[in-house]
Amino acid sequence: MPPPPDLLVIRLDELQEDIEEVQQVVAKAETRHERLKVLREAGASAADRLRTARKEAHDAALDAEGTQFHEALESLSVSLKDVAAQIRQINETVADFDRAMIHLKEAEDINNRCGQILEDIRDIRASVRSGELSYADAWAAFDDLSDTRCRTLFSDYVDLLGGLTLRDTGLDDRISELTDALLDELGTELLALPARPADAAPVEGAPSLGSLIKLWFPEWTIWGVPLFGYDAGLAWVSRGTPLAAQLLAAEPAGSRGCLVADAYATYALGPAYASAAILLRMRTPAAGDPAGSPAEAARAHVILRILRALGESGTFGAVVGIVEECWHEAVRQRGGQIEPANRDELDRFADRALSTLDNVTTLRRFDSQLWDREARGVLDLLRIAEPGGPPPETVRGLLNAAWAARLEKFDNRAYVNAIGTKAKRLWTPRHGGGAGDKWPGSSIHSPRKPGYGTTFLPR
Amino acid sequence: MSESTGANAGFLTQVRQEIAEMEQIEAALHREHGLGTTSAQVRDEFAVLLRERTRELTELVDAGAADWARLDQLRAGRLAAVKAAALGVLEGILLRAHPLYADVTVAAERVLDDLVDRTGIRRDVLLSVAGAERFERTVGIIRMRFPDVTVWGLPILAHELGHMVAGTLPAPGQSSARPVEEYVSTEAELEAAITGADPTQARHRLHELFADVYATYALGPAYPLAVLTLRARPDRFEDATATHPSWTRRMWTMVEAIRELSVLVASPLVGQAYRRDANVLVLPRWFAVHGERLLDERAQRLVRRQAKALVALLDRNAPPRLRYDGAFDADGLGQRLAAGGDESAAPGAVLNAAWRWRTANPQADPETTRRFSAVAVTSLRTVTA
Repeated sequence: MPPPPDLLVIRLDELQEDIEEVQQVVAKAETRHERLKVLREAGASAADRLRTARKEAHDAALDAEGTQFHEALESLSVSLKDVAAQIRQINETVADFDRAMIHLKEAEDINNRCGQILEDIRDIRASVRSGELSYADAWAAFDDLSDTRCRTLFSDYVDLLGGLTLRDTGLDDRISELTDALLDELGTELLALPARPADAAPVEGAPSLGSLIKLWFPEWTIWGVPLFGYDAGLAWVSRGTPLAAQLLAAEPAGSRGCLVADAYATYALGPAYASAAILLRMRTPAAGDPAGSPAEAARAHVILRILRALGESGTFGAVVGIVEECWHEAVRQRGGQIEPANRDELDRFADRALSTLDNVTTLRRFDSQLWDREARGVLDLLRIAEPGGPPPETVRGLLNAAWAARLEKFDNRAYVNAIGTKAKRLWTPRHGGGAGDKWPGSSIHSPRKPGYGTTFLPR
Repeated sequence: MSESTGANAGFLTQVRQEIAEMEQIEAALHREHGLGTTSAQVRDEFAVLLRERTRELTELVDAGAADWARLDQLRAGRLAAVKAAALGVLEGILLRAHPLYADVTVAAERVLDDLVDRTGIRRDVLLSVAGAERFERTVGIIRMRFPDVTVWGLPILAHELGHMVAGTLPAPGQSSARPVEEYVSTEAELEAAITGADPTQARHRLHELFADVYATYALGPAYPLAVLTLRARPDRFEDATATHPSWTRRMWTMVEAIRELSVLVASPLVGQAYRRDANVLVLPRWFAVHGERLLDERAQRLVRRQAKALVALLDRNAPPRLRYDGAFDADGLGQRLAAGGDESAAPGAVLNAAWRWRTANPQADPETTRRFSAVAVTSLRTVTA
């Protein structure tokens, strides 16, 4: 009677198969571009051939003898023209898809992670065979591999593939592309990817997808996009430049980079960041609150102080004023302290952040002057009922205008929705490179910081 | 006309001399092509005034008697004002041609022209100089302060213009109505009845408050900041005179007027901008020089009620564009002017930018402040009229 099948071997084989499947799926994900390329080339070729056919039909019609034959050629020429228009439309749609798609520079990283797990599987198998590892220890090693690393890997890649699909098909309402454009303006090579809500995502172990940052569902709206300024700030910190290191060192103790990220986002995005961060996300400190909330009060204080230094007058100052009043009122309602205990220290940090960021050559301060240049015109467009208008110069201008418009009638949901929709419509992606040329960078992130940072970070 | 010798001859000679002087003034003004932006309407008004005085003098001659008392009366009450006004105009013209004062005079004209246009009163003003800013009713002359050649005092001209606006601003569809004058009279009587104040003094003071509110309404924080910094006397903050309310009352009225603007506008954003101007810019400046003392409740109620009514008068009777643009980024413009930029902006925006910059940079050295002023004046004088 043959010995019963070894269950551990079966499980290890199964796990190995799963990991190899992940590798294949990721490889297949990259063939999206190939398939689209074939489609694009076919479209271009069909368009060329149609052009030739139309010319031939036109020439033949000129030389044709006999009315009927002439009319038939004329009619053919018109039909060919229609077909050419349809093909042009198909090609434009293909180009749209191609623009929305991103290359996964992380494929190598994914393969490395998979390779590492496969190697561990082989090690367990070999160690059991050679007797170096007892069955009990081998099962424990398998459990560890399966329940933690593989589970996280699978979750990550379900997210990744789901996110890619949502991006590719435009079901994220093109918010990912808008976010990409913003991140590009902020000088980072990060890219956004739609993902599951934060609470449903695996809590243990920070998932690593290199330079992709999560756009949590259902926050695929224009209002949350400024929050990615924070991730851009974290990415800047992680580059470890002397200026970033200097500012990190100046941070009040225990802030772990989040104040630097806030300062960066505020400096680069202006009131739009404050509006999104303070009005949508921050938890107001309450009387007798435990540790978490004072940190939020410190963050709000730094953000508002930097903003006041960037501009006090006009609409810029008004937006800041409304956000500030709103925050202070909420803090009062909860019986919390408006002034953080370490106010002076925070003020010094904010002032230092401003002078440091002024020296970052790749970054431009979004002050009241830039607000006027990039957001004022867009705000006027958003205020009028008619659709359309020239596209905004920058995404940050668009986001600032949208938030300013929202604050004009913040209690009117229908109006706020209409503003969000119109703002999205005003934005048209501008891509300098050819189709599918967008590659996320390979920035290495620092350990996860407290805050909104939803970055996929390495473990 | 009966001519006689002796005492009568002396009288007639003097009357004729006065007539000749009136004609001389008319000729001088007629010849002068440097009247700046003065409109034909003002010239005509001057001509009518001179002709009226000449007629009054001619009547004296025709009467035949040596009525010295009447001549003295005419000289003091009627002729002196015309001569002073003409002299003021000619001084202004001369100053306008002077290299040192030309820039600021043209800049001041731009400011006033812009205000007149935005107020919709269709009447230009004459500009001249004096020891201090003031408005002369005879032919509507606004005198700027000699020898100030900087941008800093220009917002105060808006207050002087406010005195003219009070007497000329009509009600919509009623060109002969003078709603400001009507309000001032009614309110002065009410105030006198409530507080026991002299009604005439109450009227004078309300006129001053209207001029303050007008300047604040049209120019924004530039006016309260300018008048507080350059004119208010810290040792007399609480003192009212027969014609002027106390500085405390004036400053609170201006603060309340800006707050009232935030209530009038539909957009919460613009409302917030006005509130910040009042609470974050002007009030702290007032507290800094006066101390953080509030008015008592009764005085505060009176100030708030009057500020509200005065703002409502302008809101109802003047075009909406008279109200200064709270949403404009004056700080940004201030930074560009400080950098020496060649900026083209509305006169009110330049004045606001200037005063916001000066308030934010109290430690700026005199040379920097002077340089800023020069750039701002240049910017004002290049504004298209």
